[in-house]
Amino acid sequence: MEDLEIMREQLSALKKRLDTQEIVNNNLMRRVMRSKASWLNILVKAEIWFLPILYLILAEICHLVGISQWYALTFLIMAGIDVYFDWKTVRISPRRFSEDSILQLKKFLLKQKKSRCIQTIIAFILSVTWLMCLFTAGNFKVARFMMPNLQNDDYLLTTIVIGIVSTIASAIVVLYLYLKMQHTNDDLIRDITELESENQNQ
Amino acid sequence: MKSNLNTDFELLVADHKSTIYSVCYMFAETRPEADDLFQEVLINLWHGFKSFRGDSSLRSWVYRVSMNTCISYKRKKNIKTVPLDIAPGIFEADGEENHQTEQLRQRISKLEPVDRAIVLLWLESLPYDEIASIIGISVNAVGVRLVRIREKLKSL
Repeated sequence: MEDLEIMREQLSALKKRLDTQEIVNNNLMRRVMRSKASWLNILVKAEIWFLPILYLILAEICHLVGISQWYALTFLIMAGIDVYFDWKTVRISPRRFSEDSILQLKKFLLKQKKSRCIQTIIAFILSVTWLMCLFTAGNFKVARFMMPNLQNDDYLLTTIVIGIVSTIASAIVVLYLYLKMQHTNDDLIRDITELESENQNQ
Repeated sequence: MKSNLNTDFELLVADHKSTIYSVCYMFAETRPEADDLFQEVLINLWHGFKSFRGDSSLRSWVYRVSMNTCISYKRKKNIKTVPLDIAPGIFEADGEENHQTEQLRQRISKLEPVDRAIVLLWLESLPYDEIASIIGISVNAVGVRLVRIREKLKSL
């Protein structure tokens, strides 16, 4: 019999044997869940990497505009604290997917959602407050730096406009990321609930 | 909606698991590597399943994802997996069935990755045009490559 025909029979025999095997879903679903959550860990790592760069940029802007370096420093402190809490409320350690029971993992994800909500609200309020202080610093120095040819009276209005625009832009970005993170947790919680019901049915 | 998707995916895996695992087995050197490949393929199938529009048959799509994953697998490093629960029997040397399977694997493993993919699809009795569509080459090229593969296998 031709070689390839023999190989065809061998492959067919292999597949028949594989068809009789049970493939248990549990471990595979954990791997799928881990890959769904991986973007959160990448996000937190990116925050850690970019934080010093953002601080340096802001310090330079403060220097150019002629306002106190305290604004850059307070940004660094606030953002640093935020990143620290992100490590707890955004990141999901890959080990949790392999070591935690599905019940423990589910509880963790639910708790994480709540913590994230509180953190986002606090962080947003503090950020907006910080921005207002920045834009009004030194008698609207930021607006004067950006638009040096305006009349004195126009700087207040310009600052208000800049403030509103940057607040709305920040709110959109923060809300988008927040909803995406919560959606990821919801997805994972749903996967776990289905795994739980499968395990009960077995 | 979500549980329908999961159920459909589970059905897909159940229907095609022997096909997927046999492809992975032919590209792997060891059982852990076959398990790694199998998990990678299923992950990639899961990611693509939601957006699969039925442009090709499900079988062709499963083959395409499996082949592409296996062919590009060698470039990836440090993939951590958890062990599957497939019985190890097919990797053990004893028994005539295992011997036949191992003989098949050893012959195929001597081919280049793309040739492995082509010969596996041919061994599955897929028509030339479907093989061409899965691999991404012309029908003529499939024919030419199969002739070369036959010659190479004869010389091994």
